[in-house]
Amino acid sequence: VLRIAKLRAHGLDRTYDVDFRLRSPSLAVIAGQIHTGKTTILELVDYCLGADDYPAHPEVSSRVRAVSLEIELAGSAWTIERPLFSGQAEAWIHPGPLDDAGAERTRLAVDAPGKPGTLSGWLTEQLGLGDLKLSTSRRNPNAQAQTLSFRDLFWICFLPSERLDNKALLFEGADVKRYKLEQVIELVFDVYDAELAGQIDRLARLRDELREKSREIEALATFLAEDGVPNRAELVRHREILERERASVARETTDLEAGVRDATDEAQDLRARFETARHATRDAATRLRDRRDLRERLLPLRAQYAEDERKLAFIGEARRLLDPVHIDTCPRCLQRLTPDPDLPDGACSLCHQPLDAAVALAVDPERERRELQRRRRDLDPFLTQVEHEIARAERELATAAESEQRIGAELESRVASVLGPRRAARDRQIASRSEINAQITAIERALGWREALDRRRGERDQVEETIRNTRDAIEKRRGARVDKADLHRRLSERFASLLRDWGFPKVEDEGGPFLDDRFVPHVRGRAYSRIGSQGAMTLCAVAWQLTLFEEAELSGARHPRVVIIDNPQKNLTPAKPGDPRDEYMDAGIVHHMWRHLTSWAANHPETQLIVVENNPPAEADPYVIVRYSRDTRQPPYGFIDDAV
Amino acid sequence: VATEDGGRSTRPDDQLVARLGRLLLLLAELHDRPIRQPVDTQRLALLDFCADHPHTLYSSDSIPGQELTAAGFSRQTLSYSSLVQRFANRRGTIERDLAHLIARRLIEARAGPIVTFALSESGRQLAGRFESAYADGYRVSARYASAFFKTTGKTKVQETAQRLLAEATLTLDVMPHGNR
Repeated sequence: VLRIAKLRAHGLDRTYDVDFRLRSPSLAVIAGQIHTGKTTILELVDYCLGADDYPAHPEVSSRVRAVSLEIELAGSAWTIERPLFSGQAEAWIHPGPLDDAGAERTRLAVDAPGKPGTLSGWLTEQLGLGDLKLSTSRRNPNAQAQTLSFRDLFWICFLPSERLDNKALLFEGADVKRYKLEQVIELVFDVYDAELAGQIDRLARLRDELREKSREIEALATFLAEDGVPNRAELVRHREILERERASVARETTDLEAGVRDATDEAQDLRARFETARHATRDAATRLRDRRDLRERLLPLRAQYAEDERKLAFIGEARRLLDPVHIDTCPRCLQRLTPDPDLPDGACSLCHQPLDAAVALAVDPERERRELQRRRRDLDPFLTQVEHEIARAERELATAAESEQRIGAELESRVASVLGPRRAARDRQIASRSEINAQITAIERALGWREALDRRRGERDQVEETIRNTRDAIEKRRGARVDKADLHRRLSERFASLLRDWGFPKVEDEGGPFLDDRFVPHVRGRAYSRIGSQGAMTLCAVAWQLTLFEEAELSGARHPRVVIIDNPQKNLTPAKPGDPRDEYMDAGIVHHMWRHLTSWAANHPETQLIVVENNPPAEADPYVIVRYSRDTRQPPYGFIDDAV
Repeated sequence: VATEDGGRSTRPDDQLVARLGRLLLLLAELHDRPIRQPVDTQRLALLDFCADHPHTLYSSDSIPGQELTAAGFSRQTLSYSSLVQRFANRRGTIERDLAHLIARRLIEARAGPIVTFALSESGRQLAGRFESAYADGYRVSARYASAFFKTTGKTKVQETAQRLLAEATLTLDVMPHGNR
């Protein structure tokens, strides 16, 4: 059970407080002129309980920086604090009352409602509604389920002014939200049968699946028939024939490869001969180069011999000519020698040295010439032999080169002649093998289609079987479950009783008020939104909200037991005296409504009603916790009382 | 006639008489076809060396080269493989060889800013008496060598000789008239 105790808006240097239990624990009325901050108070309460938005009009933005809300959850006081204008989607909670500044605070995230560690998660947990799942789509059973958020639950607690007459009391027009609201109501009243809902969804899904399978089967069967795809047995037989053919071609290929190997062996022999010939050519070239080098060395020697021979002849001549020319002049001073120098007694008369035997053995040019001639005679035949050898090496080289070329050509032609015809045969075999493979692939594809068809037929049978079972299970479950119709009956009765009590005009027309199976209020045989009166819509909305609240209290359902209604007299009193009135603008209706509210509050102190109203009737006076004057002479002026 | 330095070598080029004979023939050529440049030891050494190895001056397919081949000078001889050493030897013996010829009154030394040499009358007569094939060939090559360096001045000849001693081969691009 949730109780809203105190609201405090934190200003720059002061606070703005509202104590909801000032007059009574079960009813608080905030009265006052328009634009005095009454709705702001409700919006700040909503913000503290996790709403995304807060009022941001100038009175608030210029003065308020944070807001705290003291609440009571299952008998314990807690304070929730949220910053304003900070950009942080966060809340700080601490146990204890608002004024308990020393308490340890815990930060909770505000975005991602329904997740752990969030304000919403904490609130639902405290209310004993943690971890309840809601499906998000009536039609799509595969849509991910969401955890029940406190924000969803708060829909049945907080009735803002705009929902009174905007024809969207149950979020008509927003399917997901509306569906969730229905589930919230069923959850609160414990008639939400998740298993049954799951089975119904499952049945719908299975039916879709069955339709899909049948379509596939039909399409595939048509395709196979039109394409003339043979039946399975025929396909298998054909594949066996092709596989035998493929094996036969593979054998042929093996034989052919053996033949090629033999032929290549023959060519191997030829290749060895070619290699030998190549070596022979290289050897011959080496020999030739060697002989030519030798000739290059011998020819200068021979030329030197010839020149030396000529010089020796010249020496002989010079000696013969120069010998008689006696020395008669001193080579040192160029004076005439007297007497002429001679070699008396084995010594030189010019230099007085004894004669050296070695000097006496002067070179005999003739002997040297003969020696040189002998050497040249020896050299000449050798040179001739070298010349012959060069000629022979040249011939050998030519022969070897010719042989190498011939064997090379033979090898080339042999390889070509051996591999050529076989290559053609081999190409034929490859072509044939790939043709057979292609046919086998085609057959396997066709077999795949056949198998897919069979498989789908099997699956369809299985789906049909599952559908039968699910249908049986649903029938069984329906027989056994709590009667949802009973809830609708009880809610309808309370709704009708409220409207009767308040004097709703012609309330019994068309069978009286009721809630349909989607909890939509009806009066005079029409949905609330189609009655054609704003006042009627306000009455239906307030009655609907109170119906859920009161029935929950009376039946012990999981409602937070708080209802906040903003402006319940909307459309029920003329804006100005003298404005046209419809049948709902009847002071009696307002009085009856307020009498009901005060009487409920008196009898049910464990619940809490917070009502904001411009000008509530006198019945409400004992419960008015604050009345804003919008007049500086009559404080309080408004909620932010220093913003004038 | 004894060999130079004890006469151990049997190589023709090491024989004193061979060198004296060549110098006589070279000076006879310079006598018959005089040149303007002074005939000093440096030029005589270079001319004698080039006349003995005429293919250092002319390629074998040139007209002088062909004439020299016909005169018995082969480009293929081993002597071309050690030209530097041979020129060094020649340069080292030239002055003593000239002294031998002076002692025999076959040539005359003339004093001046530098000492130059020329044949004496007896030397001229003796040179005319050489008839061997090598002597005939040498006369031809001496004529080409003399002509080759005819316009080369004393300083340039010295440089050329020094280059010859420093280089591995007698590369003719150092010569003013190139490989003709």
